[in-house]
Amino acid sequence: MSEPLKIVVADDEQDVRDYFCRMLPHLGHAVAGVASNGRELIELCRDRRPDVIISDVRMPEMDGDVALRQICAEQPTPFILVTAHSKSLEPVDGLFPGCRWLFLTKPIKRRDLQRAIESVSPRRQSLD
Amino acid sequence: MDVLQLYQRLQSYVGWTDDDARRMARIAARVEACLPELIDDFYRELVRHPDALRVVTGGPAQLARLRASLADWLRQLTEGQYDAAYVAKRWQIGLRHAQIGLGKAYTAAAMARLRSGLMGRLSADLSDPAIADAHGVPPGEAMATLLALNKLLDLDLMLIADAYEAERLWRETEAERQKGERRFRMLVEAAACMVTILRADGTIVYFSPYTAEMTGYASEAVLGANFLELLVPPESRKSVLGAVAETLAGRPARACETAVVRRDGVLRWWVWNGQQLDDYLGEPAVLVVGQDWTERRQDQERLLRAERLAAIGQMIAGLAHESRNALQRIQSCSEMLELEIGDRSEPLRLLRRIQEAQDTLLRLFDDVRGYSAPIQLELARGDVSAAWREAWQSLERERRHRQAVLRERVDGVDLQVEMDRFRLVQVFRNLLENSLAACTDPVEVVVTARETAWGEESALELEVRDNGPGLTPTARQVVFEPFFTTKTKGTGLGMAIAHRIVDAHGGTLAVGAHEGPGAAFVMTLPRAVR
Repeated sequence: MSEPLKIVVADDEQDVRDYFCRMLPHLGHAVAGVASNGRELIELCRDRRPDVIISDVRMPEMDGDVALRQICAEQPTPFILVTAHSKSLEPVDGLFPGCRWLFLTKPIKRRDLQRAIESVSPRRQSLD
Repeated sequence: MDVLQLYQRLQSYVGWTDDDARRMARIAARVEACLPELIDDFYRELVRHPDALRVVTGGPAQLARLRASLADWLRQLTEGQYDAAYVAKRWQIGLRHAQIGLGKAYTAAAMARLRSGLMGRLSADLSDPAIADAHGVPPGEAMATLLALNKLLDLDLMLIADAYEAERLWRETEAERQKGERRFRMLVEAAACMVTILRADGTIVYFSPYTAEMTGYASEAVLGANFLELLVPPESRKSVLGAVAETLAGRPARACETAVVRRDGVLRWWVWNGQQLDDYLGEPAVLVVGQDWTERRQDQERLLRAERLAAIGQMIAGLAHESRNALQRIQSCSEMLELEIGDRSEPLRLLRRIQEAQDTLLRLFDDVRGYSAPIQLELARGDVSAAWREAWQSLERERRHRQAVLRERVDGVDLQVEMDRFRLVQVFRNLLENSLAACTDPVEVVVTARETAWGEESALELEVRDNGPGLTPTARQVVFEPFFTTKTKGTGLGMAIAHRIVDAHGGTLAVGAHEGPGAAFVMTLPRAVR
């Protein structure tokens, strides 16, 4: 297994936040912070400087994609956007400049999560 | 008023009495005696008048017959029976003269000549007391007898005049009728709609040129044939016959939709109105005025499906979004639970079952979304057999441990069409998968290809028939409706999606004919997608 990554997660559902807190350590990573909306996510990222961010799209106060655009502008960070829309958006160049990112459609399973983390991981980037 | 009644009124008008009838009877022999001379004189005069003579077209033989008729006509005057038969016969003779076109003035002139001949001869005879006495004409009755004859001949003239009038009226009515019919034909034959006239049982008595053009049957060839047997599929005949009967009963059929099979076997849809005709060529009939509605009907069906799909799509999008959030929570909790359970096998087995149920739910959402989303075709020309072979190949897992064969009957038919191969594979896969599910071993599915027509263009018809139990009457009706399924597992969207895909190719997918074993589906694909 690769080096543990510092991961910040954001979701408005308690069950899902609990899941990340339980599953990510199980996959060998550290949960650096948990947010329940976009604003909290921005604050957390400024504070914790995570390796990877996992965020829901639709959240109260501020959506995940809006928060991530701001985060990418301040400190480009790889991230995974989780959406309930069955049709995932194609990653558009320039939407999140300088960031490695991808979409996952709910419900996500452990192995999808694992693959997604590996695929956006900064470690992988350095190996390219 | 009938002719006898008229005659009796005229008799009363001219003061005809029973005594007059007896007077006529007394002079029968005298009239008989002067017939040859009278008739000779009549025809001698006739031949001098070309306008009168032109109606005698049969030469000496006809003249001989006419002389005999004239003799009978004159004899009847003195027979003393002025009843219905007498009146009818003399009226008919008048009518005949009118019909052959003898000017009415000539009948009067001819009558005047006969009258003066008869009167001259009789007045001479009766002025001789010996002759008068021999015939039982009492002294002083000679004048009354001549006046009676005069009245009788006048009555005949009146009958002739009435017959001429009747003939004139008939001619006028007939001319008016013919004018009306010419107008009707002109209108009907110029109109770009189908016009036919039917009897109550569906017998065709008129078939407009446009109808002929649209059905492929020549107008003259179908007169007397039965419209229903010729053009209407058996299942629709009863309703058409009903609409015809309603129209004849004074409730005109309006906007009736009927399937009509053209001579080349292509099914079209007509929408038509019926109008009662009290008298067409002597009998009641129904005027049927129709339009070919096929394209608009197909458009309507498409529109209806599109609207329904849009509504389903919208609903599903909302439902799917919320459900995916819920499914995510189930997924999250299940996976956490799995970590808690460790390697205890029974709880793990139960957890897997929850997982499977969740996957089924997810697949259902994807299918519904796939069904309701617009279909974008990626078209290329190719051999359509490649699509059904690929579909059969992809069912390898379903065919494992089964006795199942796919046969092809394509006998030199051109299988090239413009198609989205991936989508057509999906169609064949759905059809073949259903056959495998419905049939017991040994399974035999036959794909038969035929050339057919799509409007004016060439098309390919493919029949996929299995040897299973076939479709129930209900299934035949609703097999393409979304969520209809006979399987215990399945979303019931496979055939609905297949129908949509073929529809997107501009073709049709329909349940095949009842004949033969198993279930059959017929796909018609235009060679080029419009």
